[in-house]
Amino acid sequence: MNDNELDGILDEWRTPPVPSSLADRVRAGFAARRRRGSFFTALRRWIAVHPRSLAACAVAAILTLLVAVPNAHPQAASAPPWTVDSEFLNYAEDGSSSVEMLMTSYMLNGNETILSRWAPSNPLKTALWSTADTIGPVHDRIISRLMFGEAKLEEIHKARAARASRTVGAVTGCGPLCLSVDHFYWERATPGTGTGCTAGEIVGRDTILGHATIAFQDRWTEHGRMTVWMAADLGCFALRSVYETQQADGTFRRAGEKRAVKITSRQ
Amino acid sequence: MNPIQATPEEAVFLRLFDEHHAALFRFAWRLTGSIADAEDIVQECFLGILRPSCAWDPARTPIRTYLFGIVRNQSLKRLRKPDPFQPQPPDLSSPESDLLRNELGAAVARAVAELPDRQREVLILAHYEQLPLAEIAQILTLDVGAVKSRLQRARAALKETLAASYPGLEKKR
Repeated sequence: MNDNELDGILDEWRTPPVPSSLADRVRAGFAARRRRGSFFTALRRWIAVHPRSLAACAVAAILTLLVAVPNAHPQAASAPPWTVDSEFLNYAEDGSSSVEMLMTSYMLNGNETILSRWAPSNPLKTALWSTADTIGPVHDRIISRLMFGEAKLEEIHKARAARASRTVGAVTGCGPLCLSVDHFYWERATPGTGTGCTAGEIVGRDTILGHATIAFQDRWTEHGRMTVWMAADLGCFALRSVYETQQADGTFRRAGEKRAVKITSRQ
Repeated sequence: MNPIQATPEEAVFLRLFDEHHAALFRFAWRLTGSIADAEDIVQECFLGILRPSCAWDPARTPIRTYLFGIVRNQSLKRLRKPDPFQPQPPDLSSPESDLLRNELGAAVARAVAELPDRQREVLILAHYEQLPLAEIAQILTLDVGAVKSRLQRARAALKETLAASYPGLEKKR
């Protein structure tokens, strides 16, 4: 028996599929840990002990928000040369679609960065998102410190900074209430390889709003896929993304889409 | 729309899980032979990195290497011997080629399970997970020379076992 024959025979020992319950258990474990150290748990305890102070704190919080909300979204140090208006659509099982979110964004250090976002015909939701965008980063910083400690947090920040030069990021959507926005990051392609933007295989080409794009696919959820169209001349900005879930019969159903509707030059 | 939401830390954590859980599960299953144990080990491995006591040092060890090390240690604690690797009951409706594949897979599993622990883990990481020898050395806290020699010994033993016990094995394929 030579080495090649041995390799071939060894490959016959197959592994069973990963149980689908594993992802659920890890997510639940993560959530439970977060809850244990959560700011809200401490807040509930404090309210139980100091009920009279609650009203005063509520007033203070509202005043703080009134000051903070105008600065909810990260602003570029200098005006970005261009911005993209995008809409996020949800598709129902019958194929009908609804616009979930509208957003204006641009590329900063290889990552899609939001200037503003709003819910069409729903000012209450828009205000809620603005508040969440203000509170979210502060809450995350508190939780991160509780979870990781100062030293490890510093290492994570350094690793993130190093990663920024190697990756391309895009906003891929948001959850049911859209309180937070989701990003995906892909390894940046080395020159002359992959799609030119990411290391993925090219699955299509299209011209979107006058910009040539190259499409690639990646996994989306456990049983889904996403197809992303990036424009190299816009710093690999994702002008379109389609999210599909796999049905029991193996076919894919469109579940969501991000679509650029307008590019504004600011130069 | 997208399931990855909430905090950036959660997104990073889930991305990490997404990237590594399948390989870690395969490794744990091949060491323990138990789906339930492998699932427990991988779950504990990921939740372990959230604990304040987590010893991972990103400056010294890549996360994949660290995770494989944790899974390896946990698997060795629970290690079971070959029973789970017995051939699956044949499915009479399967084509003949499927039956042969099941039989071959079980034969390989038994032969690998008979290897000494130290050779088995090197073989699994090198052959099935295709990890570089240097990374295997880091996971097992060995030098690269020791990894190479264990891999060579494991492969030689497998050739001997498989050829002796199943003389027509290559031809069956």
